[in-house]
Amino acid sequence: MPGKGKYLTHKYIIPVIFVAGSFLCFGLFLRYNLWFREQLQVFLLTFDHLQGYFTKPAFLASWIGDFLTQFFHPSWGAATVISITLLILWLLLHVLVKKTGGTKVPFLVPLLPVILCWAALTSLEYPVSNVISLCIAISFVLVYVSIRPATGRQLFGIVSIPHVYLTAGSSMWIFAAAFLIYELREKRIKGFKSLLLPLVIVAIAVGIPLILRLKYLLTPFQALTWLSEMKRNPGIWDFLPLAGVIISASVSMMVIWDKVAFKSNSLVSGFLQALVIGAVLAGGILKVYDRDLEKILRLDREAANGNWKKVYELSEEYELRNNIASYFTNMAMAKLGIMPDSLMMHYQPAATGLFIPVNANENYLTITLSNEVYWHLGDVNAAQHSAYLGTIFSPRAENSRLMKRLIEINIVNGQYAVAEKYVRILEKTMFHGNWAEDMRKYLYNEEECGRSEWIRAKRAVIPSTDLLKSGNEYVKTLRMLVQNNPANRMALDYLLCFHLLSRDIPSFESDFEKYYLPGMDAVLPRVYQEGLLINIASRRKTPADYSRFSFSPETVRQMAEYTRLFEESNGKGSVLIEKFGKTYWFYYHFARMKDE
Amino acid sequence: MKINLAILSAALLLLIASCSGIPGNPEEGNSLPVLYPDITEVTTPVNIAPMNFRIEAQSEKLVVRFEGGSVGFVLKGKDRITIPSGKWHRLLRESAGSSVNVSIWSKEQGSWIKYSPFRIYVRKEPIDQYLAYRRIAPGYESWSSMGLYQRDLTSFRESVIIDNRLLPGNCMNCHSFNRNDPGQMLFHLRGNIGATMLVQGEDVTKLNTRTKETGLNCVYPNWHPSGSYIAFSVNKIAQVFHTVRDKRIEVFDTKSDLVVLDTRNRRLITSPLVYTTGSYETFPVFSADGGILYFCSADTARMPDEYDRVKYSLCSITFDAASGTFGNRVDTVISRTQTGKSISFPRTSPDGKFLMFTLSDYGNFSLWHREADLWLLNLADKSVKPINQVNSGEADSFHSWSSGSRWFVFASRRTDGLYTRPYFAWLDENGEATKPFILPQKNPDFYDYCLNSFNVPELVAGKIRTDGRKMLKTIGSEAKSVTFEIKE
Repeated sequence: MPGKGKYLTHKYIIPVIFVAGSFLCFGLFLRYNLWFREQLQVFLLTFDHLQGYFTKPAFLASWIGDFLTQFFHPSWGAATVISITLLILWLLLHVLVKKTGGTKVPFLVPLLPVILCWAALTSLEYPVSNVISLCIAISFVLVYVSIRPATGRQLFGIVSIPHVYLTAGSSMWIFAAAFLIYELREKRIKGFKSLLLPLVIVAIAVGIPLILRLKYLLTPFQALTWLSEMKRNPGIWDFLPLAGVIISASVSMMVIWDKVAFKSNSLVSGFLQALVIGAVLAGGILKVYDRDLEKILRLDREAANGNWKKVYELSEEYELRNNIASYFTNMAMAKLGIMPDSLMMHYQPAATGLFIPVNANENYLTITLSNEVYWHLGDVNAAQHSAYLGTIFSPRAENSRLMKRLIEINIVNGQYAVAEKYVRILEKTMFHGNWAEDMRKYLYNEEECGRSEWIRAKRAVIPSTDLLKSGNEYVKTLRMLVQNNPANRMALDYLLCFHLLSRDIPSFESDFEKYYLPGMDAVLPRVYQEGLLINIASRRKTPADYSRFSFSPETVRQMAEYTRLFEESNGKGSVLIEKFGKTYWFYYHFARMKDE
Repeated sequence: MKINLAILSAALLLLIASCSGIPGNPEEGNSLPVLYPDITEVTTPVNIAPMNFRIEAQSEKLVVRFEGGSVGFVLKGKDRITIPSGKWHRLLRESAGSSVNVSIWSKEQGSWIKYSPFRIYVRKEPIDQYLAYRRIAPGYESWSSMGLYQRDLTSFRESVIIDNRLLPGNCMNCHSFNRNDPGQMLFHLRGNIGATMLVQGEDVTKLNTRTKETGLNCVYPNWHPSGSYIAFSVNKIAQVFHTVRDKRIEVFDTKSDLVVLDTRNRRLITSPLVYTTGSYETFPVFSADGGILYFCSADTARMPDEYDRVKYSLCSITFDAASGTFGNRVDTVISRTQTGKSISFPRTSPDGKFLMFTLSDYGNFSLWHREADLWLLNLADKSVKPINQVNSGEADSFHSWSSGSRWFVFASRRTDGLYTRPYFAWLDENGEATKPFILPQKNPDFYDYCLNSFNVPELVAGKIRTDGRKMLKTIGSEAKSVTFEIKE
């Protein structure tokens, strides 16, 4: 049976390699991405929670997908879940292709949609429920093609379309397409019926989403293309796996493979197919996978664990030119007390590297992370505001990470009833239950709160005098924090650096003189020296004005040299960049603000 | 023989008790059970949905006996009780005008405890069958998914009136009905589609209430009983955030005046007495006969710096529906100098006897004020008192009357201080209220896991039967503009 051996090689060994590869790929290169993805949901194994899924199409796929996403929390959990899910998808497709196209169908055919899924899954916003919905739709197709009597099969097909829509959303199109093509291939339909059945299939497939859209509260477009709650405006890569399954099913049904002079099991064809698979996979991953995002999420993971030194080291290693990376770098520098000395050593996208906005148009990354800086600065209410908005904009308006932050905030604020509500919810989850149970000890227990270092520290910096402000008044926030607690060095550095990065020297000088006290540092931090020297260079101030502060002679000498070179070159950045590219003066002169 | 009879009777009682599942020889507890939701000693309408509950104790088994009139039944559970709808409604019907006796046995740490029995008082007067509310995540300036919903109070059925997922990027608010009539409704859309949707029977009209003169949309509405007029405030509303621990949000007006929309010819009419520059006028509400327009009024202030100095009085002005004109003077009904506080959300009872309002330390958006309580003005003798039976330590604010004037619903944050929940209470002819109860849910844990607030609860006499497709079609159409006129 030499042929059988080759068959096994092509049909099984390559997919096994494929699954092992996906396990390693997701485990090694998407570890932080998938860990973060789990935090965007709160999954409870309760009947009420299950009922919540019935409010949208694809309830079964979404529920199973969210259930599985919980397992993204432990190490390698995500890689295991995704690999097994992809394997199931391949097995289902393989059985379908074999059933409808025979054994001569190239192994590329069932594998191609799985490859597309792999690539799509590298995106933060492609949920595993989308793969589950493909599996559900293919399962329906398998049952359908197994029914021999034509009438029974057709009846099952018609009845199944709405069911596939309810359970798997727009993967219903897979079933509808397979139904249509299979019936055409079988050529059992004659005369008027040959037109009627296709029309019925199309009418049901289009009509069901449109009829149900008011129940599901969807626009017509959303109803026809519904995948999951994860993405408000799905793009091409969200639909490619679905299209891939339709193409695979169609190809296996429409081509009479026994008559095709194509040796799918030969070594050459196997090699060619593997080449195509590799090319599609590589192309897909290159298109969808965001390597920088993975690095940013690693910074986030380390920050969440309080490893600020590690965050800073990684920032230096990565050198990312991205405002969220800068957001973590700046927080790490402030936590390590080196922000004003090292600010210009790193990419600074003006104030957007200090604070990130949160609104409906932002992505899941920013809405989840934007509260962090307020929390660390000590503006607990602003952190709360941001965490609530982040929750509102999360898929299904639930976010376990933000719920944890809200528990912390409400414990710090002494709002125990609200904290208890969230504790009770998280206690019902599989992987956040222990954390929530641990938090319960602080509820209504001032003594226990007093023993907790983190609660004491947070309560110590909460402003005692009230201030009314809108959501994005950063300077007002920072001034308020410094006024309330002059020892809040992080807030002071953020305030002064905010002015400097906004190139607002008068505000910097004003707040510096108001809040920065001589003796706070042995030597004035570098970026403050550089900021103040701009005033001296422009003759708005004299050195005597800053005699209370200790300037580094080297910085003063560099300033003189920078000024000389700047004047000699008529302000040419190319002349200055090598020597002064990492000074504030260079930033002040050459950084371009978004509105410029 | 006597002894034998006694033994026989005791044995028979024991047999009956064991057959009904009631534990024999329990430890007698001297306290009421702690239940969630708390239904002990509450007063309910005859038509309310089953009041399922859980016991807040480490219960291994729970046995509950309900008795009222000629109906009695025993239910069992672990730590919660789900009451079959049919049995519950029969029990209420039989107990109408009287009470239901509830006895609870709970097995805790291996032994049975019998808690002190309590009563549920059942009023013959039904409550309006539907409650309309806005489901939205609490607070803050943005929204993602939210919508107007209605709930059948005799069951657990909830249905959507309109939801912003059908209208991405839009928010809806201020749903309002003419004297609890489901056929006369309005609500505002805010966002890409800024409009007021007016439903009058089969007719749905999309209005643009912003005029050149007002420069603002109409906001807080109240219908004239005739249905021909709707009073609105036009407000410029701002929202800011506190930085201290015990406060979250402040919502205030920087401008507000009153207008009345003549629905027949789409005209906003007002009077210089309620359209002023020196004061904020807001929350208009017509008297039951439509002859008086009550509203809240405060002196303008430098906002937001003086936000906590703005205190609203309750004022009134006469309104002649025949001519569409206002009276020539404004009366102060309850002055801020009298209360030292601020009045918001005045609502007149349909029988014209009472005016209920919210009293808080300052401002008009009392939802965010923990000290906000409900008060009652007797319109006959002008006496004013707090409704202590229903007030709590958290915000008790927006409220709505049932069409029979005896039941009312109010929004309270007493559960956790953040999420607004609808509570119901009975008010007798003398203005005495009863212990309130929360909107019953099928699962007693519902509110623990619900991350939405139930804002602006409005009682409605029947189901709101808006045709969704027609509504969406009208929303997609051009809004009809309104004219503006100041009547001296």
